Amino acid sequence: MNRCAVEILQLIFNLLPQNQIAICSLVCRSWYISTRVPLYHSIHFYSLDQVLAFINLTPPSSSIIEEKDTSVIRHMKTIPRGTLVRKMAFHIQIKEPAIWSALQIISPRIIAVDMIPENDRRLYGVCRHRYRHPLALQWQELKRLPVWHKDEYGLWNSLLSDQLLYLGLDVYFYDHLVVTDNTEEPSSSSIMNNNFITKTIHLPPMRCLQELDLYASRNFFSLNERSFELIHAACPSLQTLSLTSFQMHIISSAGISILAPTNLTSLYLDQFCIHDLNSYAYLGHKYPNLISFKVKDLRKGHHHQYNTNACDHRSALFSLITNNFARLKHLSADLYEPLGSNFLPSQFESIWPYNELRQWLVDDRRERPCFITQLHWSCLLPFDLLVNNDKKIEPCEITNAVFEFADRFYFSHLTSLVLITTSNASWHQVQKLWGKRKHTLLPLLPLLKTLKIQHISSDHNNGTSFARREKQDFFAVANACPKLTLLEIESDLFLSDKLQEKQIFFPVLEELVISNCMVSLEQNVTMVCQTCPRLKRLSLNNVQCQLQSPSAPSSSSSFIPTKESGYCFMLQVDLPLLSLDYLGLSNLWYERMMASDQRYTRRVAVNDVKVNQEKTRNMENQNAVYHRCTNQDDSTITQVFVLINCRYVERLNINQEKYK
Amino acid sequence: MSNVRLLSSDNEEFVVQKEVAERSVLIKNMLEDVGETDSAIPLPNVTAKVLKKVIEWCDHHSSDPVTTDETERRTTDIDEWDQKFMEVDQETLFDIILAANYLDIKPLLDVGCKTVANMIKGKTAEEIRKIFNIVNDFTPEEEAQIRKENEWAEDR
Repeated sequence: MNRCAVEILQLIFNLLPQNQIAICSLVCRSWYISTRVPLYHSIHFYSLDQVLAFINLTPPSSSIIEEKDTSVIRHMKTIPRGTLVRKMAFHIQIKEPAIWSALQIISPRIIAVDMIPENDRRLYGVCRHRYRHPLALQWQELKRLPVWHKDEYGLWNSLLSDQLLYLGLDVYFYDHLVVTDNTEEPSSSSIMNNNFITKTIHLPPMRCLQELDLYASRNFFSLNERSFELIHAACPSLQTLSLTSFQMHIISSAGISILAPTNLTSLYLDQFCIHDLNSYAYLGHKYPNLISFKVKDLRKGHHHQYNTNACDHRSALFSLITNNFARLKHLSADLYEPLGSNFLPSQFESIWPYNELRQWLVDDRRERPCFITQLHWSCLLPFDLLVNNDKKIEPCEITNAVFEFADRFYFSHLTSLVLITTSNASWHQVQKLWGKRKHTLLPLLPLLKTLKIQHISSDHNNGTSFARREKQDFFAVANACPKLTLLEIESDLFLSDKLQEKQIFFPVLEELVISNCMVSLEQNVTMVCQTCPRLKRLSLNNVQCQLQSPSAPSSSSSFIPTKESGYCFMLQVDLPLLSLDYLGLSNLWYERMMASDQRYTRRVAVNDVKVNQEKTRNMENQNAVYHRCTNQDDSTITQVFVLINCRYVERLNINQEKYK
Repeated sequence: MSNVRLLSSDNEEFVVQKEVAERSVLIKNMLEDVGETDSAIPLPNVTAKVLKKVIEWCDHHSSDPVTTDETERRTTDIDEWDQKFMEVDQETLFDIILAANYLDIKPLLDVGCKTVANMIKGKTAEEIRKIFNIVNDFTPEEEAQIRKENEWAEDR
């Protein structure tokens, strides 16, 4: 170790989180010097106290006697820490202008500011910057800026337009950038009377901008080809374009082919409504070089001027993907299919051309430069519809179509897969397909790293469904995906009680997210985690904790008999071997209105969540982190205490706000 | 497929396939500069013992694509083979890191650094000193001062 040069030590420190780098700086003098740049280059703030401690960071006062001035103290006195900082990420909201201004004075060389909301959800419409000190004035090297709100346009435009690489903008706050397009043909005036307003966005010229994220939090308006041309004229270097909450239509289909294509590589359309089929042609022509294409909640516009049906739209989208985007590697299609009550299974094909899509995906005669490595596929099947039909129908056709890929060459290249289903039957089919392969030598998805499974129950209102529902063999999944590193499960039927002891199912799984389901913390969660020796991140969100009744400990029912209400339950997750980078617990709770059945108590509340770490860093951290729910007015509430034991947690997030 | 001869600091000669040797940017550049040559390439900073390990690694990873993905590098996960490969005594580990740095083999350097980072993770300063046999050369004033300075980074 002593032979390592500063540059190698820095490479090592760069791999560590900031609090660990801080500990390393206490090891010896040479480590102290080597930690300076890694520690300060990119800093994260998780709490206001941290920000204040950073602001109040002062060099040792001159009162320290001169002879005690060692090299380290001298170093502290001569190098202002703040000037080393180039990136700041905030996991909290800073409101006081004084703090912003202090941060700017201390760290003048910031190039990137990030706001990281919990769960990485974008928080447009929430004015995170309302009180913000004009960042642009002080931070002249800024290149990345998250969502802006209420900041005067002129404030950042003149200073930043030449250097920004990333901009996130909610156009709602920039009325003056948005101009109603009057150049549309006179006949379209009738369109305007139908909540169909076309606007163009006049962005300032930003010659280096690579990533643009536009959002319309209000005034759902339409873009036409002129709007797109203006965006690209303003941002000639653009590589990633994300449009959320817009409509789109094309005025003149004849003009599309003469427009110049762009070099855009990523296009994301979220909550996007397309009115006409020409829009697909326009996108295809304009963005032939796309590598990543994401559509989420893409809808068909209902304007009467465009007499198109849902099938035409799906076909156009399919044609766009298969014919125009020849370089595509990441495809994400998250589409809600609003199926009518007179829908027949044979129409699956007409809604999404699944067979054609399958052929396109497996067709290796086409000389595609590379295979799609990410596929996010979701489809919603209305479960009720299928059972209400007189004929008994196998509702597995879509699932089958998707899973037939598995037998082909294609899926072996897949590294990411998202499955969403509402249908119990198609869920069974998924399980069956995996189950069948349990003993085969060749794994089903040999390269799959990310798997998200959501099972949105369509009969959530039916209180008995939880008890009745059959549990699924979760570990069949593991057998099929040996390389899985991220598994996200949103389904209340995934855990098997019969677990072979000490068998490692997920040798490389690092992140496990369990949400919106009911589990037993002691049995399910503990057992699953114990089969993942390399687990680094564990999140339990909106999880209903399954309780064991004191009178009937073996009961798997989650309902607490009324006579036992008011009891305390201690739920324990015991993971003594795990060192986690992240442990997130949000809304562990149980509240179920059982008004119709007097035998059961009305409310069960998770009252306290506690995390015990066997290994703690310093004295201050030794107090376990608590969250106590204050609502104790009702003595009949059954109280639940959750205790999680593990070796070490790097970052802990407990959020129990939802309980009401 | 042509071979390349490499000469360790202790004068041991290794014959390796060109594409394996070219995992090292240093060697690759040398070969480009020198052209076809019959003489062995001297590597005065690498002993035979370490060079053997490095060649073993390069051989196993000779068909890997060259990745420049920054996010891939940020994480500290190491693939299974590399983990096994890195199960060596500390001195050898640092020898490998230094050799990877000298020979300019970025992915091997990364694996080495990740291995060390994983040894550090979750440890206290005292534990780290113990693991790497480092002497605490701070004065009490310095230590107190650094603790104060680090306050912002410690708490979450």
